[in-house]
Amino acid sequence: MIDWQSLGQGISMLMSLEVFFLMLVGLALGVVLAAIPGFTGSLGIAIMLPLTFGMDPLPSLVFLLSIYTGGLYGGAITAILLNTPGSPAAVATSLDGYPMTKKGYAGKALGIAVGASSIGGFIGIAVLLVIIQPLASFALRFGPTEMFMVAVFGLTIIAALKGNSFIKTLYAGLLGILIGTIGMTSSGAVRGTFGMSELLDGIPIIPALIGLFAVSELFFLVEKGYVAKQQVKERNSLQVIHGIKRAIKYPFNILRSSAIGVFIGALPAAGSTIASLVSYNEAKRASKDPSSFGKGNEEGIVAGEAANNSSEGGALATMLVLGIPGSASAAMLLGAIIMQGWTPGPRLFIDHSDVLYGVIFSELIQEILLIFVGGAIAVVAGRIVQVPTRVLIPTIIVFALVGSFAVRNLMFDAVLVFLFGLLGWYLRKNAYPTIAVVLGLILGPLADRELLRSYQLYGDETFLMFFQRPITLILIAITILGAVTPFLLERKKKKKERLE
Amino acid sequence: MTHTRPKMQLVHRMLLPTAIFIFITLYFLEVQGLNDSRDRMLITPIYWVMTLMYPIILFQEWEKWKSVENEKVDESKVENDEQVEVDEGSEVDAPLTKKVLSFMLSIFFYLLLVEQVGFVIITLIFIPTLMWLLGTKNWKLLIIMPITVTALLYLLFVTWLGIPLPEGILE
Repeated sequence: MIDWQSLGQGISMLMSLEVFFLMLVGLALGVVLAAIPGFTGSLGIAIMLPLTFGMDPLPSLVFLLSIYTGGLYGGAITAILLNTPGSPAAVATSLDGYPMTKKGYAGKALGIAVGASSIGGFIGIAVLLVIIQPLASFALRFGPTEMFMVAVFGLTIIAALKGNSFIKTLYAGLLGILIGTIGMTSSGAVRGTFGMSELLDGIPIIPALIGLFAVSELFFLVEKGYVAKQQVKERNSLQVIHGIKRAIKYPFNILRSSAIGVFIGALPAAGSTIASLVSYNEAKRASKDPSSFGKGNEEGIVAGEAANNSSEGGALATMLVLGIPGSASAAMLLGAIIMQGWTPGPRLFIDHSDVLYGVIFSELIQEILLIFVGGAIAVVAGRIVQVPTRVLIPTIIVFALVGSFAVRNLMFDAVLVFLFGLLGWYLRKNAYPTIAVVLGLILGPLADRELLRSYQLYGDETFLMFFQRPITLILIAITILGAVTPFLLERKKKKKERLE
Repeated sequence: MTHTRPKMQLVHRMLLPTAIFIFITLYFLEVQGLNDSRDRMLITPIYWVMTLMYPIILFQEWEKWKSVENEKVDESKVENDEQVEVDEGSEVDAPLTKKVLSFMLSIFFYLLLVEQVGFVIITLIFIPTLMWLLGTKNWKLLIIMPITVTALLYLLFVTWLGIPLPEGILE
């Protein structure tokens, strides 16, 4: 499976101080940029892409991939500290990370996140190195019906969320799906824009995320003195180190989440966000104490971050072997490859296997370096919860508004942040979980697009095709299982409580 | 903190699901005008499911409201509850205080004026005003924070990333 000669040549090409320095700078840049709400690792790659034009292919790709690696973890920092996922992929991390911050364990949560990110990322790249070709070929067999079922499977998380009222959670989730379908369809029809041209591309996910999570949280924080109700339990640096150690305590969770991450990451258009949400759900399902999820369970952070970072391995597999980007960052990296004069596709690996093996191996080194770079940044960032909210809130709100404005250079997006903030605040005040809306927003467009593609491909036989394709059938079975299991477990739990 | 009248509480409970239902109905009606039925393939079933759920949610809310009303609340307990600090309560109990309302209004005015006045000037006014509204009385902080944050954002977005921010009257 591995071309050892090419791998050896690739490793020897890596042996330079310049490459090592580029890795460190790239990682730090990725972590810091992705930690700013509204920014993502892919934006970091986009900004730095022109700088790599004059570089050789190997250092150029190593540098951009370092930003990517750092960016996958960076989103977790603000997700944990301020309930503001720096990137959509960190949504799952905020579910348990922020409650830990509120309890005074911000440093520990950051440590767990960096530990799980590093281990998950390492596993993802190791898998990439070994099964790059077979995995990519399998993922290529996924047609629109399979992708539609992947989206529906992701939506079963809503069933597991429940909250105070299942029907309210479902109502919020379905609202999210409908909002997610706003915009122009692939057939050119315009839906729900109410005449606003800014919505033709659909509801931009970054302003929606910032509004629903961050701004709504700020509205609740206004009446509180500090983000954390309780005092920080121990020195932040100690907490971070302790957290990194804690991440290793969940080997099965990391392995399961990494496997999910690699697999989903390899699916075109699925990416790290869906990977982290699905693996969070699986961790909750597998947990002995699922009710503690969403209240500061360490396993929730481990699952989200391990899957999020391991998805990089999967995304790179389809990108390098097939030329299909699994995420926005992968698309940007593909642009960097094209900029080097290389043609993406199956021949890429045959023609440049030494360089690409070197690049993949550098990823393993980056994942180890991430513990130190990410850990150091986490120590500094963790102090943010000790700042009074009367100072923190004005700063965050300006960052949130300007950050959202900067993504598309549209004031409309900043207004959306405010509107989604109000919606999130009112939803939470009425006990509707905002995460259900977010899930619908992320997975709804995917489901809608793939359903449309299925119909375009199979016409009136679309419905039949769902039951004739073996992978789709397996996905249907997993989805039903995923939707029903939480209810069965809940019933079992209640029965047990009654007996006791 | 004032307690909302019982009937108003019922209205509050029913307001959100009703607003959502009105929104999705408008959206549903809009997509009915599309020529290609494939463009509403996902929307139509979701709309009907939500339509079925709407009266169930209203009924649930009414039942909850009724059960709360039926509980005999001890007057002294009510008084004690009123004295509980806001941050001790759940999100559902968090009231729309003057502070929260002024925060929301300040964002509204910031967004309204940022393009006309310009990012630098409006941010230099917005941050200290909001800090003061939220309880910051330290004058040094009220001066240093806005200048630092505005300069940092300007350097990051305009100088480093080359993203133009609204210049307003400084144009």
